[in-house]
Amino acid sequence: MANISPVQNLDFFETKSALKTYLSNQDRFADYDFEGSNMNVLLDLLAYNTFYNNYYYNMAISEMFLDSAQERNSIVSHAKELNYLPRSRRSAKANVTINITATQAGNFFIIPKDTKINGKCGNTTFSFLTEKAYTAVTSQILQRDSKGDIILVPRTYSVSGVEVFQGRLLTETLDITDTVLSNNMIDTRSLYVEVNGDEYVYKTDIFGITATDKVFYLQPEEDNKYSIQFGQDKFGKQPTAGDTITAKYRITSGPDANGVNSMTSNGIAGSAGVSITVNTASAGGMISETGDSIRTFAPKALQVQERAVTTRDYEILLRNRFPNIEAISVYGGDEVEPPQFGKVIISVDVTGGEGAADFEIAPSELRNHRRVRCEIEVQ
Amino acid sequence: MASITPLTRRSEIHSDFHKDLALLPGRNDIARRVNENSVKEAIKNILLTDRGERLFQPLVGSDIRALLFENVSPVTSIIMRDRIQSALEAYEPRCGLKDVEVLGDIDSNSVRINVVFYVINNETPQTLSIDIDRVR
Repeated sequence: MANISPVQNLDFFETKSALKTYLSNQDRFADYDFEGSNMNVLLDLLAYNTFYNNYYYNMAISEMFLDSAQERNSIVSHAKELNYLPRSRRSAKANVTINITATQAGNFFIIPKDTKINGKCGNTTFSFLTEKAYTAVTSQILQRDSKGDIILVPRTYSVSGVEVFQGRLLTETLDITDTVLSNNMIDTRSLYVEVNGDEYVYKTDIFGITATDKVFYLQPEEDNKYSIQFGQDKFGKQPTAGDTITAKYRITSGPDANGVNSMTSNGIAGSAGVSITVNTASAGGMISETGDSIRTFAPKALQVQERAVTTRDYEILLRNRFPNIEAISVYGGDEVEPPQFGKVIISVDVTGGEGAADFEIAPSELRNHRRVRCEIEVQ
Repeated sequence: MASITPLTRRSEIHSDFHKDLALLPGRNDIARRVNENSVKEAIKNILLTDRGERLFQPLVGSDIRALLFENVSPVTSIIMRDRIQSALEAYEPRCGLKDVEVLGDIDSNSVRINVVFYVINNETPQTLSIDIDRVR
């Protein structure tokens, strides 16, 4: 009798067919090919069992390797081993000019951090927030009466170049035993952490960190979530049980809020009226990093180790931080004519121009990772 | 001189084992059902299989159990007969169906199904009778 052929696929009927082929080599039981036969019931059982095991092992074993894992949680888990932090959602950013009408004596009007602005895209309204305080100034001089006393009349204060980020602020109080941030729509760039009222600073690596530094690290968790990690009193101060950890962050709709070019305000404390002109429509909103992207960049990030030494390192670091890069070329100043020694030149094309403004921070980002004193120029 | 009568060995075209995997009496070998008996067993299996019962094969079966809670009437019998006929035509190619009779017995809460058929390549009519009744 011929040997049974090994099952090479995950299809129930293919498996059953292989079993039938095996049985066709004998004549003691001839009814294997008829649906009603008792043999067929046994064949169904064997084929299902084989199918089930094949499927289960295929899925389980696939998930064990970064190359073949399909579940994002599995991919993230493998990336964690490579010390790779998948990118979170990104808030869309717009550049606006704010004009405020206020009746006050001073020539400056402070627009506080986290001031809320409404933006409309189609029929959907999005909230935008300022990430820092801005100072609006007025060019109108104070009027005085005949006695020289100040007459308070409404004046217009203006500030341009205000960057607003789409999203909503959340504040969570955590315990050291569970530091997973509960919302998976977080933009990690906005994360602000305090322990018992002391600010902790985000660090991507342990380079130069002492045992008493107030720093925190981020670690990817399941379902697009992140957890806050501390330095275990070796690479940063470790909070103890009972300490109050407060995390404040922005959650965002990501790319849904791209293209907002009309904004209004419900008012800013102390103002009589606010008008907003959008200079640059919102752009740069993104979903969190996809499994495919993590699969591609996690091993490369390990290869680069956050260091910008070779031109290839620059490319990988930038592609990782700015996913909308369409094409990039990095070369040394020694390769240009006339040679510009001590310079790294980055030539980049950003997809559809979206997020091109974000790229302006690229040189400052890279300065923290370069290992030699070189000037960085972006074209 | 003695005459020699040629013996023809009965050929076994169809062969299957028993549903309960019974052994041959006195031997450690599995007993078999052959030819007509094998086909009868297959027909019985199809009749007592509901659609959706077989893994990955949702259409296999006669689905007569679905009529369990219907009132017994001539219409029910006709529906049952049609289902049996179509199931056997679709899933038992060895069976040349001649007649299907469904007799409802209201008093005993049971139905008798008589299937008259012949096995392909054998012109002897075969009859299979199945009684279906309530189990409690």
